[in-house]
Amino acid sequence: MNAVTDFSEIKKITMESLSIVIENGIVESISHRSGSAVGVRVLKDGVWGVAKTTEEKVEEGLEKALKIASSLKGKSKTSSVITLGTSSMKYVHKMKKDPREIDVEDKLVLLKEIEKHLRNKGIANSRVIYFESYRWVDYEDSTGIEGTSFVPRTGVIVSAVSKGNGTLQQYSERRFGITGFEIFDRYDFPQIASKTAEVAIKLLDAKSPPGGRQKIVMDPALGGVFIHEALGHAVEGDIVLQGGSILEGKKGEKIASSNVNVYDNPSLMEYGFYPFDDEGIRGEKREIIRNGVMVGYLTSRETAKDLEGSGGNGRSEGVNTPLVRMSNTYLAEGDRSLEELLEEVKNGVFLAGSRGGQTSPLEGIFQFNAEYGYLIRKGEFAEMLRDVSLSGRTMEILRNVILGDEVKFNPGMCGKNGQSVPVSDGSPYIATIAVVGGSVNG
Amino acid sequence: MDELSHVIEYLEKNASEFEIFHQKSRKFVAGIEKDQIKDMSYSWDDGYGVRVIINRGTGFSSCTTRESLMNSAKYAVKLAKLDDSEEAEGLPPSERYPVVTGTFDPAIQSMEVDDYVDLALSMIHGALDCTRDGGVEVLSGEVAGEINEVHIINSNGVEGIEKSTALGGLVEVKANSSTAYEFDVSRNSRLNFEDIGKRAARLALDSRNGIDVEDGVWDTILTPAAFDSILANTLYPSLSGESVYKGRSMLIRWLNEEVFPGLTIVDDGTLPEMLFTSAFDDEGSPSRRTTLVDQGVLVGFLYDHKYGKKSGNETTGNAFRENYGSQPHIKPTNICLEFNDITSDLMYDSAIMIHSFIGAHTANAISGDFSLEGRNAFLVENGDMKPLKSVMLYGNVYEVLKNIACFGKDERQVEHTISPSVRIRGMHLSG
Repeated sequence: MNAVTDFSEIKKITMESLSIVIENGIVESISHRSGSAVGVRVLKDGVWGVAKTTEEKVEEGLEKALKIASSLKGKSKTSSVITLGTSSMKYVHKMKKDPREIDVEDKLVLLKEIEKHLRNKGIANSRVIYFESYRWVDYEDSTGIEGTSFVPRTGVIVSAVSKGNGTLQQYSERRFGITGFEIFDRYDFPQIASKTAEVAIKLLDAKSPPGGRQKIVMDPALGGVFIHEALGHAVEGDIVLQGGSILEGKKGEKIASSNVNVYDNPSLMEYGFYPFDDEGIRGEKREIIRNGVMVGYLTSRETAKDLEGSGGNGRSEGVNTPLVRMSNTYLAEGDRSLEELLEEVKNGVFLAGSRGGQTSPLEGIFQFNAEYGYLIRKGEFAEMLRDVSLSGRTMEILRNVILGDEVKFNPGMCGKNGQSVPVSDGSPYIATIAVVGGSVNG
Repeated sequence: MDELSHVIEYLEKNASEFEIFHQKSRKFVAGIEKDQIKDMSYSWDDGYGVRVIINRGTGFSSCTTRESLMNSAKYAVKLAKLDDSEEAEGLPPSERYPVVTGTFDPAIQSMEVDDYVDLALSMIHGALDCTRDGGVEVLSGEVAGEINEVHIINSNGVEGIEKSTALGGLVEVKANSSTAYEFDVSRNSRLNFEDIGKRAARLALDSRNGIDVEDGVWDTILTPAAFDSILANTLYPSLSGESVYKGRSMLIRWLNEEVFPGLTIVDDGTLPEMLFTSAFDDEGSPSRRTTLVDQGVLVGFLYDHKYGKKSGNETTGNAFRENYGSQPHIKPTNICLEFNDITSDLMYDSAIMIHSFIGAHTANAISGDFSLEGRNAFLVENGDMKPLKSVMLYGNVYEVLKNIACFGKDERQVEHTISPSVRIRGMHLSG
């Protein structure tokens, strides 16, 4: 295939997973999944042809991809990709305790025990979700890069719905990792479950926040979502080149205060880890903001060409076409303790956790809903808040942040163009000024 | 004997009940970027899901080749034996399926690379040709066509085979610093791609030079897309009979009460040509029409076979899977909303009109509370529309449904929702 194409790659992905849901004391579901798929991508005369196929139909897939590239010639945009030296990469993650060697019976006993800690007076629904998943990748391209990898992911979500005061409230905690069954040694899940139930019950009595622009403190979970959603998506090379980012053309400019440093690092053993991306490029730390100056975008093989990047962030769900994606994205720490940040704010709102969020990278605006919060009065936590939302202009926030002294990572799944990939977001506590929503009358 | 017969023989010996779900899909996607076609992909996807019941325990395993089907069957049997919940209610019985129409178009099946090129270019030109002065740019988009085949059998004699098609286009357009997107999906090939492009471009152009709006209480007009994104993230999960059974639905307190005056909500999986129409659901129960809210009165919920039995009702044919790799869950089919007051002009007096929301998935699915950033929002005054810079809408879905002023006449289907634009009284907004 080298002779007829500018670039081509074949990638086989094999997946296996087991998931267990325990709900209200009983097994809700146990599901096992397995499967494989082959992705073929060719760039011929600057035109992409892509086929997603099966192991038995690799030849057919290659033919289809070439046919698409030929038919599109002259009718589509022409592309080019960066190429690197040849290399052969192999990564097999070693688990301390391989979940596949542990009986499903024993997993059920363990999970039911954790679930008991959620069941509390005032809890209407309690749920523990467990999953273990394995991803094998075999990658080969026309530039002489070969890679094989095996990466396991294991995780637990505990979730409680409380009932009272004419409302239902939900709270959940999750711990995921690039890990095997040793995740149960790392975290005290019964204690996490008890705390989850407690928060869900407290939310029944929580108040709406005062609305409007004010001083706030975000916890690392919400801070991480802010960095991922509000800044991270705006530095994804494909969005930048599509003209969809407020940060287009901002490389080299000071866009944030000098204490702001932001990185994306797939080599960290956090949930967004990968040894090489889905275009065969080794996963390495990328600088996004250094001392407030925008220094680089995240790129794939194709977007790297126009943005002077070096690729390494081309990721796909299954064998879909790789998109520019984040991995473990984080805002590096400052030097303040939480107490000092609260003292700095004096009177304002503390926001914790995230029910997700979304942004318009072009307009540089964001909106997130926190899971809960507290009023800050005289530099201390006061009444608990619920239905707290946060919105603002990303660049205004980044020019005015005071940072806590420890980064914490939170795992999650990030969706883009219908593809979902594992990521983690990291941040210290952040003090800033933003618009808090909830009740306008508040 | 082929592999499938071996698997059936094994399951007949080792399981009380079993089901094999086979799904095969073929899909073309043409990607669009910066006024041009960017790439195209073709995909084959094939997979099996095996569900087994033993002693009222359920096990599930999926795979992607017929050769691994026996392995999945054995795995499902193993897991079913470990499920000690005694919660299973068996699998659906064999029943006659309704005849549904307009869900398969052979023209989509025969479409090739060049046809997708033409459709993508027509959508791009629709957007670019919208003004003579230029200033419109297509940021991204796609045209996709899919042929999907489902084959389901179970040990109670259920056997369903269905082939369906879908064709759709999505485009995001920029005019100065304003963006807008539009989309349309159809089960047949009679879709106007040029018009999708035009609508996106007009919306982006109309959204330029936004002004600020004062915080306060406003009548709010939601387009079908904006209305759907609120309902899909709050109301629909609460209409599930499973949510009700498990205490996760706020709706149960209002059963048989007049709670949403003037509103009727029906789930109908048999409507001709609609996006979620099928002869049977993903566990082989026949599709049907289910009234959920009748003239304001909450009268029912959506069920699959399991939760239908558990709540003393029967399935409403609403068991759906994300794909062969997942077990069925309760989801709506086509939700039709109707309201007593209909007008062809929703823009009377002053109001805020919102085309779509950013981050609708952040709404609280359980309490129904939301605070969402509106996209392509306008201030409507004396029939005149002025674009807004930004607007946040706060509320609760149940309050929204209690405060409908009237429905428009521009009905369309967006995802599961079939509705026109709606005017809601007194929503809290901030600029």
